[in-house]
Order: sequence, then structure tokens, then C-alpha cells
Amino acid sequence: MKILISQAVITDLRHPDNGKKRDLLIEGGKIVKIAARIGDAADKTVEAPGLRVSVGWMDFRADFRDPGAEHKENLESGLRAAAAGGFTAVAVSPHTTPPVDNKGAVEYLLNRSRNSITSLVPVGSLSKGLKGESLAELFDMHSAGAALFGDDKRSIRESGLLQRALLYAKNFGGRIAHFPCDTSLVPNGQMNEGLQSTLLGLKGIPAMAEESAVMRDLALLEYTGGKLHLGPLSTAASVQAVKAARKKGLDVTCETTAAHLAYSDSALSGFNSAHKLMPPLREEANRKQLIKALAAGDIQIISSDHTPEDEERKKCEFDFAAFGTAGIETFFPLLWEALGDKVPADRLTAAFTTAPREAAGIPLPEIAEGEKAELTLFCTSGETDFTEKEGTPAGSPFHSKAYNIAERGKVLRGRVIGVLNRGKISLNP
Amino acid sequence: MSSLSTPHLLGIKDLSPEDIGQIFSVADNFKEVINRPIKKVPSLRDITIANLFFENSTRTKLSFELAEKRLSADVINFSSSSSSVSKGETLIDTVNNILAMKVDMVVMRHPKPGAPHFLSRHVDAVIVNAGDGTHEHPTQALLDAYSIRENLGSVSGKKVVIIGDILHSRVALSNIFCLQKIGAEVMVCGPATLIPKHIAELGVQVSHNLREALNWCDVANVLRIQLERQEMAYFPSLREYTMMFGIDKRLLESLKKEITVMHPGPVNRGVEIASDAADSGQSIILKQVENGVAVRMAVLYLLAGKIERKG
Repeated sequence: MKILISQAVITDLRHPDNGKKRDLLIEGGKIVKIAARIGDAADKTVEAPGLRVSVGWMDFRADFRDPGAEHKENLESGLRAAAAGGFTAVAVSPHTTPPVDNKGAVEYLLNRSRNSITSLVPVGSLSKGLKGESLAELFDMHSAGAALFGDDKRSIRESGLLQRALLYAKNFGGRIAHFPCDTSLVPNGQMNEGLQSTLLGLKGIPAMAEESAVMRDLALLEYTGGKLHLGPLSTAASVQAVKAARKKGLDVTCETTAAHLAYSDSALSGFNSAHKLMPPLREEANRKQLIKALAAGDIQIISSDHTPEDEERKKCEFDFAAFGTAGIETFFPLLWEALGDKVPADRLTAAFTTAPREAAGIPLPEIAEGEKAELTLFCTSGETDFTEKEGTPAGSPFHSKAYNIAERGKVLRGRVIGVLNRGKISLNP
Repeated sequence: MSSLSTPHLLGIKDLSPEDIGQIFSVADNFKEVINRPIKKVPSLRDITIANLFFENSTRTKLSFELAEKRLSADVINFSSSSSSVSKGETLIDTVNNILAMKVDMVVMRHPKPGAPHFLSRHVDAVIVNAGDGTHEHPTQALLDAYSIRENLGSVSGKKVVIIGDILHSRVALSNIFCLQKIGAEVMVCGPATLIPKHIAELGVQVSHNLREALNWCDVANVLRIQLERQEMAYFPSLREYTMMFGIDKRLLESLKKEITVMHPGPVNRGVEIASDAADSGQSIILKQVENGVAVRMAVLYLLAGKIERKG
């Protein structure tokens, strides 16, 4: 099948024609021609006002709950949601039941996603059983296709374990992904420690719990000379510490989530558990600093941190509610609405195209003739309606099974038109 | 029937100064009523109130029940020391089961902050917060402010220090909101481990020196040390707490002026306050208890104005 992508603005900082309108002809899953105008007849033409094309987006952090909690999400629903959100690749959390701490679990993920338009990038756990005690078989998982190693949101308490992981992964060039949080500083913490938590009488999670852990992790990295990724980060001071470490020459990347760029802790007023996240949303001033850091390139990666939950785990007393929001489908409109024009589209998309692949050490797709077509089509104009239309089975704008989509019912700026990958095309209605 | 600007009493945060003034003037009337030989009025006849206590309480529960009965409401009680969640039933289900019996109002105490707010969004009844974890205890704050007004003539311009475990105290938070709304100055005093880091952002002063705080204030509201609410040791021993923050008669007499002493109860005698101070002429602890009934009658009466009798 011949697909013509008509008059799309190339959005890729590395591309010589970045910012220019081009026609792209795709055939047999490959980009066969790029030109200002292509007159060839095509079986399918994709056009939209303000259309843009970038290399396929990669979500650096999503939890598809499969195996173990498939009623919240499974690989099929998660991958469909990812494609609708504009992603052609997703790094999935090892925090499943049983966890991804062995070769078999890595192969399960790869086998189950072989035919989907969006590919999975397995993350292996750092410790056996996610217990934070002893190293999992990192090399075996790496050989099977795991790109990164970390215990998801379970921060490694024992410095010695993280040190050994950083050293051991050097044997094969692996990167350790760590969520920095000194949990001894947050007994039963529910939200950012600040004026809002004081007003609500909720236990706070101080910014310092993250920042002190970042300092420790960077010291371990400097000592070991390994490769480290820190995220999701929620405070501007954490990002500044990573920036300083990168300046020193340490191989470290960092990440925040779309929600942390879009919301602040005032969203929790009235005990709104939809915005109860880990790490927690911080103050508005901090959010603005995060946006500045993103614009300056000091935050390399933005993830959706898609964390699907069922109704029972969110519609309950705030203390009992689970952390997380399921934002893989609302990712781009949420970001684009929140950032306004503070970050140009080509710089913004770098945070979910090139940067996550570089951090994970996986090949970068190119927008060039003869290359495989791994592309995301989107618009920065127009809007997306995330309202549920009642009465029709197809009324839901969502493919995810999750209950906890904080943007449900909102209309946000920008649109994801569709994705091309693995010889397939998927267009949003 | 006049009523409040809010359909529920979830916290002092939602009340306007006018609401508080209205509650006080209605409470004045009810205080007169409960000192008559016949203490009962028919105001809430045919209104059914469920008292749901998911956490231990003696005096708040008794006070509410008495207030409800004095207003001629029909009253049912449900107590569970452990939250119903531990039994696998959700809070919504528990409450909906009770509401299915056609209950108009729910007075709820719950160990989790925000539980009454959550309930107010999901069930069809008037909700009165009788204490939600470490968040608010609005009727306690109202009766405390009412007692200060009664004892000192007004609240506006008065200096009130709240002493003790501020970190785990819903009474402290509600008192701060209430006193500030009606013009008092507030200080909190206690060990640094029991003062929330960001409390000063609420516009209160912070002190760790008891004598200094007592010399500053007109009223000292002494909180109970809630040992059961502390998941770890915030101070090494009760003995040491008493050495630094305990109030006794000698200390009160050594101050520059005579201050009013309050305590929301139950009192740990000899810990945060010695018997000679708690029972002294400066203490209005038992007046607080009496006023609690009148203030709760006022709250229930004003909120009931919103209820359409269920058919």
C-alpha cells in the first residue's frame, strides 16, 4: 500500500529540513520519497491543517500491568492506547506480578507485542523480585532485549546495591534507571509537603526527600563511572543537580512527566485523588521552573508515567487512594496545552523521540528516503476532546482500561493524527 | 429558617465569618434553652441523624448525640473502632447502607483526612465532620472560639496560643482557621518535631518556648498528646515532654498576667497539664464541654434548613 503524507511540517531538530513542509511517500513500511510536492498516486493520503511529522514517539515510562493486574490494563489495551497517544515505542515498567526480573519475562513482553504497531521496550528490574536486596540477572535480561534496568518507583535504599548495579551494568553498557526518594523522610506521605498539605492535614512528601536521594545517586555515579537515569523528577533543584553532574561529564539523564509540567499541588485541593501522584505534584513556582529547565534542555526526557488503576483504588478516601494517573492517551494535548508556546514543537518532541532512545541505547529512526517509516503525525493547532459521549458504545475517547485518567472530560490543545510503524498505519478518528 | 453558606460542615475552611457569627448567635439561644428546666425543642422533629464514628470518641459523640436529642431529632449510632475498610466494605457502601434507611444527616468521625469531603461528593445527605484524621474538627473549633467569646467578651484582637502536638492535630488546624476568620492572633507552640514545617504560611507565629508563648497570649489552648496518632517517636519520653511543655499552677502564677486555659479533652493529667492548673479558676475546660452542646445544636439546626424531608 502506498501512503502519501501530504504537506507535513518536518519536526525534528536533527533534520536538515526541520520546520519545512514536505510530502512523504511511504511504501512497504519504508519512506520511499520526500519532496516539496509528490504527485504520485497513493492508496491513502493523510492530510490535515497544520500537520506535522516527527519520528515515532517513545514513552519512557508506562505501566501496562500485564501480567498480574490485567483488569487495570493489559498489553493489548495499553498498546492500543499508546498508539492513540502517538507512541511507536513504550518502555514498560518491570513492576508486574511476577516482576520482570528474568529473561523469560523479557521475552514474554517482546513476544506478546511482536504484531502491534507500537513496540515494547522492556525494562528489567534491578533487583531480584524488586526487593532491593540482590542484583537480578541483568546481563541475561540485556541479552534477551531489556534496554534499561531499574526497580520502577521502588527507590533503592541500600547505597551499596545501587553502586554494584552501576558497576555491573558497565560490563555491557547498560543504563540503570533509578527513582530517587529517601522513603525514611516520607512516612505515609500523601502529597507535596507545603502550604497545600498543611491546609488539607495530609502527610507531606518533602522536596528534600527527592533532592537528597539525587545527591546520593550522583555521588554513586561519579564513583562508579556508570550510566544512570534519574526519574521521574519532580523538583527543579533535582534537575539543577543533574545539570551540574552532566556538566562535570557524568553520564546521567533525567526525566519528568507531562503531569508535573501541567499541574501543581493546588490541583489536590478538595482531596482530589485524580492528581495524587508519585513523585507528588509540587508548587506552582516549581512547575514554572521545570518548564524553564525543559526549554533549556536540562530535562532530557518527558514520559507519560501511565499508571492505570481501577475505580476501587481511586474512588476512596484520599489516604487509601493509589498514586498515579493514566495519561498515555492524553500526553501530547496535556503538554501542549500546559506549555503554551514556551517550548517550540521541535525541542519538545526531542524529549520523547531522540532523548529516550539515546538513554535506552536503542536505534534512532530517521526521516529519510530508504529508512523504515517509524513516524508520528500530529498537529499543534486544533484541539482534542476527551469527553465521554454517552449512549454510544464507541463513545469513549479512550482505549485504556484505566479509571484514573485525570483529563477525562477535558478539551485540550493539539491533536495526535496517527502513527506509522512496522509497516502498519493507525489513524485516530 | 436562616442557614449557612455551605450545604455541609466539612471544615472551618468553607465557612465565612458571617456563618461563624450566625452559629454563635443561634448557639446563644440554644445555651439558654439547655439551661431551662425543660431542655428540649422540637426544631429537628422528623429529621433522622446518623452518628458514624469510625474512630474512638467519647465526648464528641456524646455531645453530638445530646445536641441531636435536645433538638428532637431521631438518632441512630454506628461505631467501629477500626475503619470499615478493614472489613472489605468501602466507606461509600457503609454509608449508603445506612442512608437507605432514609437518614437525612450524617455526623461522621473518620481516621482519614478528607473522608467527609469524599462522602459529600458521593452520597445524598448533609454531612457534618466530627473530625477527619489530622485535617479538621470544625465543631471543636467553633465551641472553642465560642467559649473564648463568652469568657473574654470577644475573640477579635485576642491572642491565642495552641500548645502541643500540632502535626497530628485536627483541633489545631480548625482552631487556626476559625480564630483567624474572626480576628484573633494565633501562635502555635510545641516541640519542633510536632510542628508542621509550613504552618507559618497560614499566618501563625511559631514558638518552641512555652513561657514565652504563655507570656504573649490571652488564651492558652492546650492539646492532648495523642500517643495513638504517632507512628514513631517525635519526642524521647512523656517525662521530657512535660518538662518542656507541661503547664502547672506555678507556671501560670509566674506569668505577667492571668490567662485563660482551655483543653479540648480528654486531658492527660500530669502530662500536658497538671491537675492544679486544669482545675484552677483560670481553666474553662468544663464550660467548653457545656458550650459544645449548644454550638452543635446551632450547627445541626442551621444545616437542617437545607433538608427536604425524604418521602
